[in-house]
Amino acid sequence: MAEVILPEWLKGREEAPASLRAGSAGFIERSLVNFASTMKRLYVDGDYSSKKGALQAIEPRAKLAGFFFIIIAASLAHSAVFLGGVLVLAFALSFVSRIGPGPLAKRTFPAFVFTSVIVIPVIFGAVTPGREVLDVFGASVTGEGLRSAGFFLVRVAAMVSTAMLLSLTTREADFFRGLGRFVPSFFATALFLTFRYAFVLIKTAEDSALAMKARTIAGARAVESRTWFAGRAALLLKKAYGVAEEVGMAMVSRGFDGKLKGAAARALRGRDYIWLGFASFVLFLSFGA
Amino acid sequence: MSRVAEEVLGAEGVSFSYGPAPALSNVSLSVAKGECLAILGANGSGKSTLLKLLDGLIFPSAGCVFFEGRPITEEALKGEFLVRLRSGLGFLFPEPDVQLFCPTVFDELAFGPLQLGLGAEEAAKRAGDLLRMLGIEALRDRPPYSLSGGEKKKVAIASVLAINPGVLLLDEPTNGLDPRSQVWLYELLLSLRGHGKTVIIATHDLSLAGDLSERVLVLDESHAVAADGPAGEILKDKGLLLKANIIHEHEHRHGDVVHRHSHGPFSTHDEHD
Amino acid sequence: MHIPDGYLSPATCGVFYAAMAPVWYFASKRAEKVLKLREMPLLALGAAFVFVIMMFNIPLPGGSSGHMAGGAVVAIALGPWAGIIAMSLALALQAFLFGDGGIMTLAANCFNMAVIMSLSGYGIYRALAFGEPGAGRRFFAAAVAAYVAVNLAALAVAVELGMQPLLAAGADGRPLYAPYPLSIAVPAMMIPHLFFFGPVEAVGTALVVSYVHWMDRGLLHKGKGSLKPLWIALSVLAVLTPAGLIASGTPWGEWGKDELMELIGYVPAGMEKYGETWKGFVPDYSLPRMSGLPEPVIYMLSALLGSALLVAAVYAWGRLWRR
Repeated sequence: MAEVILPEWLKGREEAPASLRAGSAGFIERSLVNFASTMKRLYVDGDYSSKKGALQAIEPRAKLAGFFFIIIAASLAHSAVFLGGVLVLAFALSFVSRIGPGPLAKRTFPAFVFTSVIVIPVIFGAVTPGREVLDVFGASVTGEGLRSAGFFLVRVAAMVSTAMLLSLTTREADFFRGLGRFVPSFFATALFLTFRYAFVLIKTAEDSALAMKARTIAGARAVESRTWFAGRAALLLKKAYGVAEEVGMAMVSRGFDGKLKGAAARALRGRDYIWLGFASFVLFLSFGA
Repeated sequence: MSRVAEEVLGAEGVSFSYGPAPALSNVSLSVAKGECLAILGANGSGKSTLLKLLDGLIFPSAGCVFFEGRPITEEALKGEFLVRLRSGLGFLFPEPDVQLFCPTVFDELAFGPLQLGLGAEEAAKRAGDLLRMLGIEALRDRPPYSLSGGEKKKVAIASVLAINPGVLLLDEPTNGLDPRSQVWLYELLLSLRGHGKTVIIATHDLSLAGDLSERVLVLDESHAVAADGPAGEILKDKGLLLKANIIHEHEHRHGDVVHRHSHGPFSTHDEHD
Repeated sequence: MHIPDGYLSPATCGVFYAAMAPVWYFASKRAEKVLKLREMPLLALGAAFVFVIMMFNIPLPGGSSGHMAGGAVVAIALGPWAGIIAMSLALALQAFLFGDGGIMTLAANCFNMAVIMSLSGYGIYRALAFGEPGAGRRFFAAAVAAYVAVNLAALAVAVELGMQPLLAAGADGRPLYAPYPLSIAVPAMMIPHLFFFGPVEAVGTALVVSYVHWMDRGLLHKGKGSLKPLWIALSVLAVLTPAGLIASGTPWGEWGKDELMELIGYVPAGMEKYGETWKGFVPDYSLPRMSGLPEPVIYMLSALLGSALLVAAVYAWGRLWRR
């Protein structure tokens, strides 16, 4: 066995050169924030969806169908009152499902803010001609503009909060099981596997970003950063191929032959029918609203 | 060559390569029913490849693999033979994240029985029994990605046992287990062996190989069989194990004396001279 | 680039679901054939790869950094059909669990980012990187492909948004969905994409493709086989989509209602007095007693009756289904 001979410089202690100033690579920090928030969200969502609330107790198929009804209703409606009603409903349901309005508002917030910014020009006379109600530095704000913008915002908020309530109150397992009843099981299973292994890859990405951060002392140069990104992405792709092959084998070795045989779904109960009835009532109301 | 009567799995002159470099070259072996075989080898010696070949997950570029005397080829592996092989062989992957691809622990345990057409009721019963046996009933509805490393491994093992295979192919089963879980696994395997299961373990854990299996097969770094024989003899052959890179010489300091001796990962210090 | 819920009229969303259904079906069949079914996890892992790639911040020359959409890089890595499926899976996951992009608008988002972006990105890359390209040409080909692809996708988004005021307006003429006309939507989408997101996509894609090729060329899609079915499908889609938009008539908001009611099979056959939408929900014989009631109450009662019938149907179906 060859003896390991340490080079001399490794035996001493390193002093950082006084001229070196600490820096950071902002893009790595931003990537890290993305990874961390996605991971955190997964676990936090898990907590909400396993609470013993009214929505959580509904059978996945019925729940998905009901939520789709309400989302379609909010998409069809022409009335701001109706849309406001859906928004209020989503928040009311957040109480019933023991989540509370806070987390739901937090999920709805990004789309709401994004839309608010986008919709600003609509309120001005230049885009929406009409009766002037306000003058902002020479640009006139019209009543029609305000109404159009407000209406659009309410619709987006109603639809997004409903969709977010669905994801907050449904365990991933139930969600994919329910989805498998509406779309071909090929897609439901593939979607679940995507979800499952996205987190394996995010973990890899996060670890490599942390490793980069740990070694970045004086701020990375742009060229190095780009090479780093390319290397990590290539590593992820390679890992994706490797994992895909192994997962395929693991499925085959346990008898997977191309068709997934699912466990039987439980029968619908009273509360599932009530939910379906209620959601379809909302949908039918929207036809006239 | 006619296969031995009691043989469950066999290989005859099997070679395999992923790219230009061979992963396995000219390997032959025969495993009898109820036997416990440990396949020893350094990283990259082809242990995992050999197990995958034996499980019919990949197919050799030369030679042939046999299950119950029938050749496992891509063409032969369908219909009744496929069901027989899949329900007869259980494969444990070294990385539990790979093996756990279902939404919940319960689904994971029910997956194999359902795929083999045992019906929803029987699948649920087996899943329940396994959860109880492993003492992990509390994890029933948890998604596997949220489990700890040791829990994942337990669920992965249970998911393999769910189809009640006669032969267990275990790839690095002690990987990532703390000492207590290793003992637990050892006892589980021992009792499975006691009930007539055939166990094939790919490992570089010498103590596991020595304690559990009566027979050891060593793959060297040329991806060929370096030795195949009784565990007692092979594990004593220091030269052979050194050559196959399974043990290494190790520098130790005892007081002021620096000396060298060979070491497997779990060998004890009583062999100092 | 992800269109949230509420931005597109239900009719537009319906058209895109109708357009995407055969694409998904065909792509999944083709992916199954090419990859073999037991390798279905590859599609999922490809999707997981894009999902994670979209979360990376890519530093641009000049100090800024941004995210890429990933449609081009996944198509170049996995091939066009697997790329469509993988990208659609990633978008579906974002929509359902993370609220990036809407549920109603999912098919439209898939059309823009999975179909347009993947196919054009792949096609342009193949066309420019024909034969045995050197490192320079490969980088260039991937960059151009990604730049053009992301801009085409952005243009599709802009057109979809910009058409909304034409397609659906309230009785008083105010917009019901995305409020900007084409003249505003197109430049608003295209300027940032031409000058910022395009370069991000180009740099990101070219870097990844070059690096992957250098590290292990076996990981990239071989590009064997004909591109013909791809172009046929593209041209069919290109013809069908606007045709579908035009064919379904002018009052788009109305289309949604009628179509839905037909789908649900709700309107009793032979109802001649169908002029007023809502009367359709209440069978003739029950009307006289209610006619004295105010209109909103009739609406409510009809909706109530409708949902009661639906629940009864589901109940009966469930009973029959379970024998």
